[in-house]
Amino acid sequence: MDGDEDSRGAGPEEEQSTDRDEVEEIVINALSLTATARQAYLDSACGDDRDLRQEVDSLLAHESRANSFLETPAIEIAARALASSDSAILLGHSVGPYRVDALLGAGGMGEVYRAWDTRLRRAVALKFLAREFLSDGAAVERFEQEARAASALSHPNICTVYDVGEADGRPFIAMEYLEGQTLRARMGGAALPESKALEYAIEISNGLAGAHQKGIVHRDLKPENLWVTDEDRIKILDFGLAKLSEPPAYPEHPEVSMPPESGQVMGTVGYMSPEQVRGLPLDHRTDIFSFGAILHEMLAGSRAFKGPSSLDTLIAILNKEPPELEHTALSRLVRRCLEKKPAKRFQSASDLTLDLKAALAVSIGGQDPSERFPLSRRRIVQSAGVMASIVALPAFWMLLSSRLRKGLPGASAPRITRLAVLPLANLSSDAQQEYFTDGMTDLLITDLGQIAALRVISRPSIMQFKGTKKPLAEIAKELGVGALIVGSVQSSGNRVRITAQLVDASTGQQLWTRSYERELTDVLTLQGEVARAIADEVQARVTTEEASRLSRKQHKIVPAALDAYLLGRYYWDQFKDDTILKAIDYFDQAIQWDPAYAAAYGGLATCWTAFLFTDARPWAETISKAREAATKALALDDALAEAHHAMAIVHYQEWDWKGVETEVRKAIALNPGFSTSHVLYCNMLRHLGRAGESIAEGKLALEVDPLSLQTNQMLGDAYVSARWYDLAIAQFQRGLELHPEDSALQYQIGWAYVYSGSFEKGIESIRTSQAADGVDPSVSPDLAYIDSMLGRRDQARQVLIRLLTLAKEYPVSPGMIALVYVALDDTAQALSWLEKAYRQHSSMMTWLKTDPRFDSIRQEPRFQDLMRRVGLV
Amino acid sequence: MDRDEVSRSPEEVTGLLQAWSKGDRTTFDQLAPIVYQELRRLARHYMAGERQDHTLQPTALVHEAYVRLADFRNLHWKNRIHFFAISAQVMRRVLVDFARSRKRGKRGGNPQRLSLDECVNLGAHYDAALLALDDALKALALADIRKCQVVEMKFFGGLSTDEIAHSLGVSPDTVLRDWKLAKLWLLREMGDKQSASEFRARPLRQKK
Repeated sequence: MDGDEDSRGAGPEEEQSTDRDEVEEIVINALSLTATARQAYLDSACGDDRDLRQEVDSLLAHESRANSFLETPAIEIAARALASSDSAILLGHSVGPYRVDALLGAGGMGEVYRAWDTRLRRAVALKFLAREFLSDGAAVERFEQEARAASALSHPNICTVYDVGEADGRPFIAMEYLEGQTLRARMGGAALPESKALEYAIEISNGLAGAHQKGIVHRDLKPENLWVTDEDRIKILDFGLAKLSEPPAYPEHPEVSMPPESGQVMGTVGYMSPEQVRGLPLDHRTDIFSFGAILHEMLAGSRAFKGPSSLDTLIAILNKEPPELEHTALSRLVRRCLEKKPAKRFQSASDLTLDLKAALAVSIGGQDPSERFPLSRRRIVQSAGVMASIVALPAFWMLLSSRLRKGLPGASAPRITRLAVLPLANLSSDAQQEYFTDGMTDLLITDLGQIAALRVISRPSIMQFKGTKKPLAEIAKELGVGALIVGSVQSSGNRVRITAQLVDASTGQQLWTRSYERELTDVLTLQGEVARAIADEVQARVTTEEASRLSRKQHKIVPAALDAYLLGRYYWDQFKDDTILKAIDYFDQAIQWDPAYAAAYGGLATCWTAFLFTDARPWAETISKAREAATKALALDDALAEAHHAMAIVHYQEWDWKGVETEVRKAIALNPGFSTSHVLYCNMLRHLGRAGESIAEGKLALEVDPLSLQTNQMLGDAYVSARWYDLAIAQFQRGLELHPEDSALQYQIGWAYVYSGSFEKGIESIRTSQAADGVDPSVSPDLAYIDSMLGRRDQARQVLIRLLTLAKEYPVSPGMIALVYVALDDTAQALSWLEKAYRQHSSMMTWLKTDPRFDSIRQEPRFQDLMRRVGLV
Repeated sequence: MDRDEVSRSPEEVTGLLQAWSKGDRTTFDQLAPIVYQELRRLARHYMAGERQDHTLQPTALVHEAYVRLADFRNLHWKNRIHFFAISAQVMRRVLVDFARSRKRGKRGGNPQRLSLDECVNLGAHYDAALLALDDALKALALADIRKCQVVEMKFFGGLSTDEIAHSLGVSPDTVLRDWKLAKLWLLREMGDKQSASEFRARPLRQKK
């Protein structure tokens, strides 16, 4: 067997070993013989040695019983015994990496402990759910899902969820440990000063906006769930947890059934929304109602809804209006939060925040300027904040009044926030003009994608619907959008005509149709106009900045330059080495026609960055070309998202992670609808080990680009890096449903299976993927790695030998060779091949920090040093 | 067995496993409670019927415990096998522990530990047999530690012959040979036919 195995079993029996060996030898030989042959054999083997013969016989006597003896492992019995032992007490002990110090509180939902995270050396709060909530497996799963979703929330006004775990069959959440008090305690039964109440309200609303944006609804907002930290900031606790105990529609719910004679109203009840009381399905607007009740209480010092019993309170929530507040302007705002019908409330927490800020500006109008912006606590930026207030104040009122003019958005049909632009039809006589039509589709997506309030589906998810006969309702369902934009482009000579229709996905009703005809030279400005008109139509909030970007006068484009640019885009989209070269050529032409054409430089930069991933061109040349083009594009137009994105890729290649983050965030701010930027950011975050952020980013990518390969892949990868293999597998499966032929996805799901312990499934997927890619399994480093994991080290070594031979003639990734050495536990060789990979600037270097396959070597000082050189630590 | 909650980071578990593999037997006392706790947790899941698609596969439990405790950070096969070897010892202790407490219980021992009956009723014969087997194994360990380990891993840990071979650094043939001889030896040692027959291969009693 393996020579490097430690040899155990050299027992303490050295002296007797000759005797024993002899006995054993004879017994084993005898066992293989028939009864008659055995006697003869024993006679000759033992000869005159009576002791020996007696010893041998005494063992052989048990032969018949030995066949079945101990053949059924006791492990199942042991498992049952284990399962029945009683539960342990937490205090003073450890749970995962957490040492439990103190019980902070206990309630219906469970207990909260203060604990010390021995790994990260920080205090955490551990929340254990009471067993009653975990009656079945589905509830546990739901709890974990909710907590994981909440862990993706990183917001200054939300208590951060670090981790989800389980101790003794009881799931727990590890979260930020906060010093301070609940808002309930802070209020102390009295009203807060108006500006303080508003300040808190803005922070709560901010936190809600952050969570709602990610699709997470609190459902149980109340002063007990709001934490006022020692720094006087608000943190919202327990996002999503309320889902576990709902729906408490009737007063038999334990928390509701307070004895009426006590005259008290339990906390939760007074803040429930009417739809919650009725047990109806909830959305984010339930939080807006609860918020209103809290704001009312902060301002008035008494509850918005109260009755002698819980039941009375519930009835009041359904039927009564809250008492008027003294402050009429604020009273209106609170009223709007407390509308019985969700459609009449503020439709989003960000709308609400804006109005709160306006109210705060009015409320503190006459005060000392240094008190004005309590939100910006950092002294350095305070003066800037005051400046902003002077500029911003009229803007708030403008927005407010313009919305009032328009009528409240919530009063009409629900607003459409998710849109998709289907490929525009080419109505020109010339079929060759397809590139032009596709280009127009692209420009419209890009322009609409810049409006942050809208989710516009990215191009990769929509181009598959080109020329489709699918009903619009079905397409909208697949893309998860509320409305579709369909239209056509017709160009003849120097004129272009764009027709766009906005179609409500659920009803198929045409909401709006418009036709624009312009000179070709004005087509860029025209696209901005169309985007603006659509945004208005769906009542999306277009910020002044976005508006000015969309409506800025684009310089008059030379038709030949536009033509070359659109051809460049067209070839870029084919995404092959030769078509990218063609695209470069066309972008160059566009620049020759129009040297001030920023977008053409942007396209050029994008093309060069593509070569950074294909190795088709020398790295150094490619990177300098990409940088040059991106720099030029940004010099001409700093608001060009594509160029910021290209610059981010350049930094990515240089392992300049700070640079990536700066640029990619700019790109995302300028064009949140461009999924590729989210994908890039997600990838960087996962490599840096910022798991929560990377998953959040991956989800954003998927939101705007639900059907494409890259987004499904990336979110799966983010889950792998976070070690949530079950979620990764589910995500890759979703990707495979959409792209069944994709070998990369097969490969990724294969590894995810392996990581989760399903070796057979994993090997099968990896083999399938390699068969499709034409990889010879006999030189597959992946299979060698898995072989080694499974103890088949000889097989792994053989693959390695073949790989090393191959590497003498062909370029074999040194990083992959290193991986096999890691699997074989050969640290020295692994590190030396990793050094080679580092010198080649291999992209595998970015995997070092989070790839599970490097887990066993990660603590090596030289490995740590490598990670440091790649900037990962 | 220590029933308190104990915990270690995956790195610590891996470190302990490595120390164990280098011959530091004292690490067992540190590892055993962790393994015990995890196995118990998983066993509860199985028993609670949360895995209705699975019957309780003898080794699935141990594999999963490993993935959760150590594999998380370390995918190395060698550590995994050491882990299995340790869980086998833990399982042995658990069973013997229970058998003892049941016996004590009949004389008025700690009733809490006797909830075993609710879950699995193996009968007094099995308990007696287990204790006899445990004593015989102790004797075997003195005579031939490796054979004792083979039995422990195979019977209490559900390890395959190949896995045992890897863990002990011997060939699978040697493991099979040890297994045959150990069984004869143990049967001779245990003497009492009644006890030994409890361990004959037979369909396991299913819960309810």
